[in-house]
Amino acid sequence: MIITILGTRGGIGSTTLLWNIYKSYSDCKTCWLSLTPPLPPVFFSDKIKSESIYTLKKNIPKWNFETCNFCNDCINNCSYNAILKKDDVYIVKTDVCNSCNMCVICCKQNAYNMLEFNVGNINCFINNGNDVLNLVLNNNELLSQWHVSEIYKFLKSYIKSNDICFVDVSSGRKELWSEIIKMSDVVLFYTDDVNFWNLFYKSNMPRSAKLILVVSSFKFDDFVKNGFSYAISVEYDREIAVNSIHGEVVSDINYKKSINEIKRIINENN
Amino acid sequence: MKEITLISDKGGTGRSTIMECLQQVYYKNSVFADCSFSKIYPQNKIISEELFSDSKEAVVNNDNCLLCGKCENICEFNALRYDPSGIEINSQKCNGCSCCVFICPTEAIKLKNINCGKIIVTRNQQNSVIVYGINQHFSHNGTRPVLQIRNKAIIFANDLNLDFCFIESNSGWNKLTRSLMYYSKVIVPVVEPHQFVFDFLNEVSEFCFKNHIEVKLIINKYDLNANVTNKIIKCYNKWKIICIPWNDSTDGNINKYLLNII
Repeated sequence: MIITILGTRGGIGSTTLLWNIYKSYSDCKTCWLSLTPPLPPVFFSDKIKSESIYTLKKNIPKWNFETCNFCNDCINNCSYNAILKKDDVYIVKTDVCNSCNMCVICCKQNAYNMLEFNVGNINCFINNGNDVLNLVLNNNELLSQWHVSEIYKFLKSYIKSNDICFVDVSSGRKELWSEIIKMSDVVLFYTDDVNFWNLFYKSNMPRSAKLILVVSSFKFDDFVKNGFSYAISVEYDREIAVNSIHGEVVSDINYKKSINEIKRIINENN
Repeated sequence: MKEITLISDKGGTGRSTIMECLQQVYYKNSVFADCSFSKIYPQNKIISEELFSDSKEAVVNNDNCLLCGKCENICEFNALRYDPSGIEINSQKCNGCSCCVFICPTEAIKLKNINCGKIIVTRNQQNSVIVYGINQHFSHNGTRPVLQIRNKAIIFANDLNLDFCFIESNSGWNKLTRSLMYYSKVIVPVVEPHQFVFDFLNEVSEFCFKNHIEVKLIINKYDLNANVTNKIIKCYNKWKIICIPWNDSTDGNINKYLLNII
């Protein structure tokens, strides 16, 4: 099972919440994946031992000097401006290229052929007997839907059927949400903005995952007034922030109650 | 005109809050650009709006279609489906690469631009210019045009002859953040005393040293973890460091820390 957390903005404690849920599943095999740095502070001491377990590969066209007749067709046809000409050499910008094969198709001289190119790694280390993964992309790569879909495909083959994998994505990356919801089993949607949820709820978002609405406790009343009383309210204050930054499990009673409620919904009908 | 960019390693370090406070402190002589695509300013008066379309999508005109099926075979993203009545395009899968347009013998497929969002220029209650962007929830293969927002703000700053332009980038150490940093005179990293912060600060340090950019570090919520705060101050004593304590409210309590930031 893959559980992902999506937050509308930073600073409401989404990583803290996910990590506390992760901790409460101590009786079964779990796995943590951070798509964007940093990892929760508690993993700090183990991180040095991490090693790559998966390489993210993208098909990138390779230009062949011998057959090219410098007609510039590839540059003109590329929709992403990924090909540059520099002193009679064609350079493919790997971070912009979308592997669409256009240059291969349009070149009459067959000067391009596709080669696999490493664009990033998933590193892994062990913490308390559980795997902790983090994604490290090459310098110029931006996390896109393609990356997300490749990583989740890998994740599905990597974890065993009874394992629970927690995925942490930094807040506000709306462009990845539809792909994440499609690929996850459970999505915790953490927000403090009722207008946003109102819009999002009515939109044509994919509904394949079980979506759990989690809201900041001080905005819970707004959600109830708008008819979303099924939302689960979660506290966030200084004490919780201190716990979280020191890598400790949050001891607040109301916080624990919220986590148990979320766990109950996750386990429903499973 | 001095360009100042706010960056952070992760969400939740208080970058947006600090940007808000800067708007209260430096409203007289600055323009503000919010490139984080995470906030809207509903109270502000809108001066201009501009749609941006960074991505394209194929549309098919079935009257011209010969049903040869070439496009279905060539599509790398499986976005086209061949049907006896015509070709169907799945817009969620289409990446706008134009391979099908290229291969179609009858020009039945065309590319159209999709609007991914808006760049909005506004004035707030104190009459200072704020430029920000919004994007769609489900835009596919769209990128964030952070430099367009930055350029708009710079034009305003130059036209109005103002001293400063504050730019808020999105979180993380990535291409978008760096593209904004190249132009800046001063970088303000806003961080929490989080143990993984040093990876980020080392990158910033190296980048700014290479490009001769001044750094002013803000450690927000410094009181949450005194050990790490002290370690940061010790490691980066070459920079000017401002420490801001945890704050529950946003109404101007931290303005006093930002008075001499420039």
